Amino acid sequence: MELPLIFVAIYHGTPGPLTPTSMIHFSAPRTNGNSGLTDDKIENRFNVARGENIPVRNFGGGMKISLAGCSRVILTNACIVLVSFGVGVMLNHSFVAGPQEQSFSYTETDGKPEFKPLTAAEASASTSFSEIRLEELKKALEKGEVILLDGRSEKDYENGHIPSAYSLSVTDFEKRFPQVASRFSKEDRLVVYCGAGGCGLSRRLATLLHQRGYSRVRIYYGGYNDWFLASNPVVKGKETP
Amino acid sequence: MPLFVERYIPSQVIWALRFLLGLIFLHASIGKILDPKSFAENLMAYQIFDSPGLIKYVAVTLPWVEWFCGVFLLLGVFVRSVSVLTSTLLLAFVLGMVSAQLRGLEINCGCFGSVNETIGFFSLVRDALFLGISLVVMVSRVDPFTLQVFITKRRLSRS
Repeated sequence: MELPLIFVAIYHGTPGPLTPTSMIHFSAPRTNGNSGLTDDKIENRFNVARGENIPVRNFGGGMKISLAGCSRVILTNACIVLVSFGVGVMLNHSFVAGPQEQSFSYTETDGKPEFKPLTAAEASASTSFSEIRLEELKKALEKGEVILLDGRSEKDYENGHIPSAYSLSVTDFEKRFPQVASRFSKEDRLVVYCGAGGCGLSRRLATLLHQRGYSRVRIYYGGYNDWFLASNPVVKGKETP
Repeated sequence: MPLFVERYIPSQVIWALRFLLGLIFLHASIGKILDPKSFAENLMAYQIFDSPGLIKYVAVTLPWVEWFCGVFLLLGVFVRSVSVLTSTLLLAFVLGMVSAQLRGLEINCGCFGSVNETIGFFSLVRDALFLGISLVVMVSRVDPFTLQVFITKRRLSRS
C-alpha cells in the first residue's frame, strides 16, 4: 500500500475528476468533453448524488488533493488484489498447497528437449534413465543412498542448490569430471538434476555419465525449481571440498 | 506532465492508450494464468523472493491482478484506480529487471507467460514504454468513452 501513495504524491497536477475514483482537481473550472458541464459541476453532482461531502485538502497553488479520493483508489486496488488472490488460490489449490509431482517423457527434436507428461503405465516402463521423484529422492538422500549431481552452471549452483549436491556443469564437464568423479564409484547410484523439467541439461549430463560407464544414473526431472518450490532446504555458495 | 497531457493529448488518444494498456495486461495475464508453475519458476530466477511459499502465492495472484486490470481498462471501469495499480506493477517489473541485469542474471523475463525471452535492452525499453503509457493514462482526464462515463451521463441526463 505504500507505492500507490507515492503515486498520489506525484499526482498533484492532475485536473478534472470525471469518475468517483479520481483524487485531485484544480480549483479553476474546466470544460469536460462534449457534456458542456464543468468538472466542478460534475463532481458536485457526483457528491450530491451520493450524499457525500468529500473533505478536500488544499496544498496550495490551486491544486487540491481529496483524501477520500485517495482512499477510494487504495480501497479499489486492495479489492482487486484480494479478489485476484482468492481466485488464483482457488483455481491453483493443488499447486499452492503442496509439491507437484509429475513424470515426463523426454525426446529431442532438432536438439530441442521436449517433455510430455507420462501416464502411470508409461512411467513404470522407464528407459535407461529412469526418473526419481521428489519424495523418493528425499528419502534416498536421508539414507545416503544416492550421489546428487547438479548439471547447471557453476553460477547457478552458487546461487542455490540441493544440499549435498556436487556441481558438475554440463558446459564445463570435461574439466570438472575428473575432480568430481573421485568422490564416487561406478557402482554408486547417481541422481542428476538441472533447473527444471524443460532445461534438458540433466538428460545430457546423464548421457555423458552413461558413456563413461556409470550405469546407475537416474534423473530428477523436477530439478532445483521443483525442490525449492516444495519448500525444501537449499544451500547457497560454492561447493565444499 | 499532467498539464501537458491535458492540453496537448486529445481524449481519443487517451482512449487508444487506455485500450492498448488493457490489451497488454490481458495478453500478459493469460499465459501466466494457464501455467502458474512456469511463472513461479520465472519469479524464482529473479532471486528476489527467498520463500517458496511466497513465490507460489505471488505466481497465482499476480496474473489475476493483471487480468482484472486489463478487463477494467478495456471496459473503462475504475480507470484512475486501475491505472495507479498498473503503474505500480510496471514500475516494480522494470525495477526487478534492472536489478536482475545489475546482478548479471541471464534469465527469462516471464513478462508474457511461458514465452522465452531473456531480459535485455529490448524488454527493459518495452516495459518502460508501457510504464509511460500507464502514467499518461493515470494523470490524464478519464476519456469520455468509458463504461463508467456512459452510465454516469445517462444517470445525469435522467435526473
